Amino acid sequence: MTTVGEDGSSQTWCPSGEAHAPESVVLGVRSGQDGRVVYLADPVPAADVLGEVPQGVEPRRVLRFASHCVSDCVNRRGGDCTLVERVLSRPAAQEDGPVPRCHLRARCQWWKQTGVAACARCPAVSTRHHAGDVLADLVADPATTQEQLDEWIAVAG
Amino acid sequence: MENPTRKVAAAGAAALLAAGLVVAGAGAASASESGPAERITSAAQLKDSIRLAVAQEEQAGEQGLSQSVGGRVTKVAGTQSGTC
Repeated sequence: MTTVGEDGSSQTWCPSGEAHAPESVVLGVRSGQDGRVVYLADPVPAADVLGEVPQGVEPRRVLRFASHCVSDCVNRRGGDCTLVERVLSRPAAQEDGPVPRCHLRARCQWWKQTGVAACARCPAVSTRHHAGDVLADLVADPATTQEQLDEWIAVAG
Repeated sequence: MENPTRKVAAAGAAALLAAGLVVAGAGAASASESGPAERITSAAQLKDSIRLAVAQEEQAGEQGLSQSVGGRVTKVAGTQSGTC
């Protein structure tokens, strides 16, 4: 499943991607403990699964999708993803578990950019809003700079 | 369904990572053996997992609202974070 990206290089995929892009596939389901992702052994087209999500429930709150890493993503900076950088800046909420067995790794932008460190954090990445979780808001906000994140973490202790 | 815990030599780790196999970190033997090593391998399992995830999401939403409004559950539009 090799495709060519916008700059002629091999297309990488976002492991926290869109549900409705033509190429979107399901990466995992947030049915694990504390909402952690349980991964699919093989990719399933998102279109085949979206009907299983009840109306009124945002699909990305219960499923993780993979779709192409695109240049117009708000988290994109050149060829890098700033979201994974912010995710890794955040102290782990709990001890990282085993590296998940996922079908995306060889094409994953996060793995390509940061290696297995991103994989260890991947199961905990969610689209869930935690009321009062300022750090989660900072991580999710594309406008947050690394300096702001580091400063907040340092002050919070 | 297979559910092995693999310990791999460092030299072979990179190749195995590229193939998408599990790597058990040093000192994490107990975590890796009890961690979420299972994978969804069938359509039925996928459907069940989605139902479970939806139920967990709804429960978490109600708990969050009750904590923030002192016990009364009020419909509040949620926001999204953590995705691109």
